[in-house]
Amino acid sequence: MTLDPIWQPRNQQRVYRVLLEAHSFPGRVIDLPAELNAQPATLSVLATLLDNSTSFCDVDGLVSPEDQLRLEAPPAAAGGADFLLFQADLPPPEGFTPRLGDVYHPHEGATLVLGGRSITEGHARFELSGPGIESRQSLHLTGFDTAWFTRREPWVSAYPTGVDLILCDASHITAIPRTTAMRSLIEATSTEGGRA
Amino acid sequence: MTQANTELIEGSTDRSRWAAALLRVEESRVIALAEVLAERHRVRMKRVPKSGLAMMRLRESVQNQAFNLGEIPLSSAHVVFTGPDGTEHEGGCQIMRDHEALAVAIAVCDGVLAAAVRGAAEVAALVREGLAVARNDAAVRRGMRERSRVSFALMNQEDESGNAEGGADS
Repeated sequence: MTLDPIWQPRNQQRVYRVLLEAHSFPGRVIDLPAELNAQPATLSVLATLLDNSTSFCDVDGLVSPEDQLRLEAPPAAAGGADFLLFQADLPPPEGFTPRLGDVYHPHEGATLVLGGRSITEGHARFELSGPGIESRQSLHLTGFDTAWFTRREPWVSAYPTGVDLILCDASHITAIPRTTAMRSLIEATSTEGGRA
Repeated sequence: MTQANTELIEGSTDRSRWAAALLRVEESRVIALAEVLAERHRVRMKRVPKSGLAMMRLRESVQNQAFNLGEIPLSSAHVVFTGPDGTEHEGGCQIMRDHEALAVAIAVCDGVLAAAVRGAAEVAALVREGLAVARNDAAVRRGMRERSRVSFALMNQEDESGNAEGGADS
């Protein structure tokens, strides 16, 4: 009787190192450990970051009830959760604003985990700049509704408040902290309004 | 507790005491039995087992204010398996030990005994053994308490010189 690799402390420590590197170099695509590829990268990230002291909102119902129990994170409404998980090919829910924190508590800004098809190639191309990026960092995405990045602009406009994004595909992750500026190079179509 | 496992353990030992009884048995035997049972019943982890230190918080009895008594070693496990009839059974425990594997083993034994499935008799034997050790320990402690009993009533008796023992110096 063994635990699935993503729940084992040693692997979670390795994912944590990956997350540190991703946040240090925004837009850089980093491979998750190969042993974890049997599970969605989003779940590896959540298993590493969440515990019973962090609230969580699974808006699109992507996490099974069994895994929800193992995460131990108390559920919260989308507007008040510390961590939120979304299916990235759907646009943000109508009227949705994540928790942004305030000047005295910027750490209370939410972290959004977006799971899409690919973060290594795609027609949606972005150029990133800001702390952790020497000049420019390009990012190619498939299966990410561009409305996420349009809506992000006002959320991160009043630094230090804002949200941090973690983008995942099957086996890679990249981070876009609130300090990173994103410029769209080729606009892919948004399906805004397409969420059920 | 089901009829089957009531018969397996003498008297009506409450399920909440099974873990304490199993802790009295040599841990390698509990872990070895649990490994066999986990394999046999395809036991799965329902929660991620944990071990470490937990703060024990109590309330004092005068003003009912909470205070931290101190940290205790604690391990917890929660497992699940499907019985032969398709029913889902769960087992779990929290033990005052920093020993994750032992917590998982006791959780497996707890689930198997509660479900009264194949292997419950072996678990019941270990529980009985642990209860016997616990009874023996309790008897020894009782004897030690009796031997060290102090009658505070004597403190009020006057000694030969007429002074009350324990009285304030004048």
